[in-house]
Amino acid sequence: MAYSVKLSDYLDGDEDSVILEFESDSEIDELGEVDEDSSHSYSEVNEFSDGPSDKKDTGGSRYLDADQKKPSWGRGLTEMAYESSGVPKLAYSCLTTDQMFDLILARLERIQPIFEISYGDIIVMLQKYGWSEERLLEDWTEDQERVLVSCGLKLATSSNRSRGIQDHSDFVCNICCESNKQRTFRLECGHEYCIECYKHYIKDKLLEGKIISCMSCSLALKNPDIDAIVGDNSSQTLMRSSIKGFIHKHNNHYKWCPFVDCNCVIQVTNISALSEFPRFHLSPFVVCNNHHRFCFKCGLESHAPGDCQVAEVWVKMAQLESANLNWVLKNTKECPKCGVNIEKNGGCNHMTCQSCEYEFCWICELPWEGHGGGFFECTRFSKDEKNGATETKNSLRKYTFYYKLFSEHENSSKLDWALGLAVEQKVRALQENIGISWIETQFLPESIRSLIEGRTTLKWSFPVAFYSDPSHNLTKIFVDNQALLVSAVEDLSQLLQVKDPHDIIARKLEFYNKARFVQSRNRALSECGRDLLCKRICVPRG
Amino acid sequence: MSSRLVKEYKLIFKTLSQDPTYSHILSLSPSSDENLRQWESVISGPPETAYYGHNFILLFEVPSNYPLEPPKVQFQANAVPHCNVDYDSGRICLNILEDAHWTPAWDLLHCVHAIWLLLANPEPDSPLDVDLACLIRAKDFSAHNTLVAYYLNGGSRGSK
Repeated sequence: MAYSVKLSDYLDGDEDSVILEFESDSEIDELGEVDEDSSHSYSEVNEFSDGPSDKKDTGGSRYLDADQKKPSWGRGLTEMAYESSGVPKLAYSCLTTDQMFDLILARLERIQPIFEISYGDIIVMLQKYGWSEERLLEDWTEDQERVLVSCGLKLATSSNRSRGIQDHSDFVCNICCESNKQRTFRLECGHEYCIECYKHYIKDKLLEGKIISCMSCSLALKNPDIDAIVGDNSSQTLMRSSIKGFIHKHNNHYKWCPFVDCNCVIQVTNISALSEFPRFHLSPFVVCNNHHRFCFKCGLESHAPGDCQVAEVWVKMAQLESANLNWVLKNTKECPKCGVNIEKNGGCNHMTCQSCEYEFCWICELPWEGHGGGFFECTRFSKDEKNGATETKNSLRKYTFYYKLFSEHENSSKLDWALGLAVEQKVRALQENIGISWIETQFLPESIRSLIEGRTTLKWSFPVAFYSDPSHNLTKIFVDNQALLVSAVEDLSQLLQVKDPHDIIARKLEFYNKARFVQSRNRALSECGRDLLCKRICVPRG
Repeated sequence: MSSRLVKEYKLIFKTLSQDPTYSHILSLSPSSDENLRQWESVISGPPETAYYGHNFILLFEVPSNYPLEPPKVQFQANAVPHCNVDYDSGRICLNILEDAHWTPAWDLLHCVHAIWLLLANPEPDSPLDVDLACLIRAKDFSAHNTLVAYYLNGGSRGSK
């Protein structure tokens, strides 16, 4: 049981730490040992490497064996490639805007003695200076008075009026022109308006992320003023929008996670390392706290084995062509045998017709038998499909073929996300029904992550295949690798459909093995794709 | 917030009839008695500019959450050749009329006055009429003024 405990240590650290530094090697090495007793047979892999690779290219066996030499569990694709190419590691941390604000507050503690004014004032000044302490300090040492006035913290002329909420018996507000107002707000400037008008005014401005000033002059409202007027902690919203603006302005160092509804921000601290990546056809993939893997350079989801150029050209092409292809991408297919309409509602491509019980592959619509074995025919673009048409028609046909595969896997991975949510419930059910610990159920989310990462790699392997020279031996090896990953992914996906909690626990080892296998196939395919790019066999062209 | 508009209406009436600094604003009032959200204003061209001697009509649309939101103002279409005005629609580019720069402390009179000042002080860095802006940038004011005068006196806009 040392196995799962160690694994959970790793996962724990992963989720709890605010700043997620790149994995520490010691933990990984510990986990590496785990693979010794994982009983999955690699015989299938080895058989395969004897196949196409013995013709002329010895590279094939290298890809197929790579994973055996370097067993690792938690390690991602990019990390492994770092080692082989000598690219510096990307140092990054994952933050939310709230955490960024906390960090800023922590820094304030340090710089407050320099200014000798209140935190609220410094925050207003930092907002004005786009959260750049250096620029602020520079101006501050030059002319404190000017900085204070320009930030709206001090009136150009002195005033003895007090700021804050005032009570009146009968006040006429100049904004709404209503009389009998009891509560008002004013700053030192003396511009006084009723609290309702101020509330509306502030709520309108909160999302702009700029300093909110008096309605009549440039004197700034500080965070305590804002909270006092609105009556809640609205200044938090203002700080959040201000920091969002800051991130957009500094998008070299910071990137939003591109996944829907994910509020993570990745901060890369060694920016200079980024320029090293393209030379090796690597992409600077980062993982946010919600386990979303994306490319820091182009902001797309993880697009291994392709590099940013493949992804960019492919996405552009897809946008141009998608109008033509929309009809292909319907959500339903007819059962190849009985013709009944089938909607795919799970991640697995192994379809069973509810009506005639015919089993077929969702992608190629051929019988499922024969898919379970060595590899899938449906990842290969068969030359026989070209039938003497013009070249442009053929290239569109070829593109359609790959695009179809690409989007099939895209849809599948969306369904996998849904599956992921279902798994969360399964985990809870396991804990409650069978009474096993949280730690011991972690193999399920781990499997889902492997599945999704595998699916994403598969998806992006089709653009690479599309742009590769089909006659080259390495391309054939790549396609075979693709087929192996497809089979591994489908296997795992099917396993994850298991519903019975007792069954799930009984098959725990199977989950581990299949997830591990997907990971190793994933790495092999990614490395193989990168080699295609490095050797200029795959050349993306728009 | 209609009490605000009523108050503004009264204030405008008083100011325009008494304060000589607003003598360039010939009128500012609701277009009809029924609708307080549609306003109309006539301003005279500022002296010492090509606009002098001509009158210009401004059309206001006051949003329901005014004064939190700025009023929508434009010139009458096809009437004002100015580098910050779209001649064909009459649209005006002026920062205080945008949400981000507007504050509720301003009122309709401020807007009219600001637009009058804009007539006298064109801002070629954010032009809606590029031709006129180019002439100002090139400091060819006589060409600019001649062109403005030509349009104001009924010259055609060529291809448009």
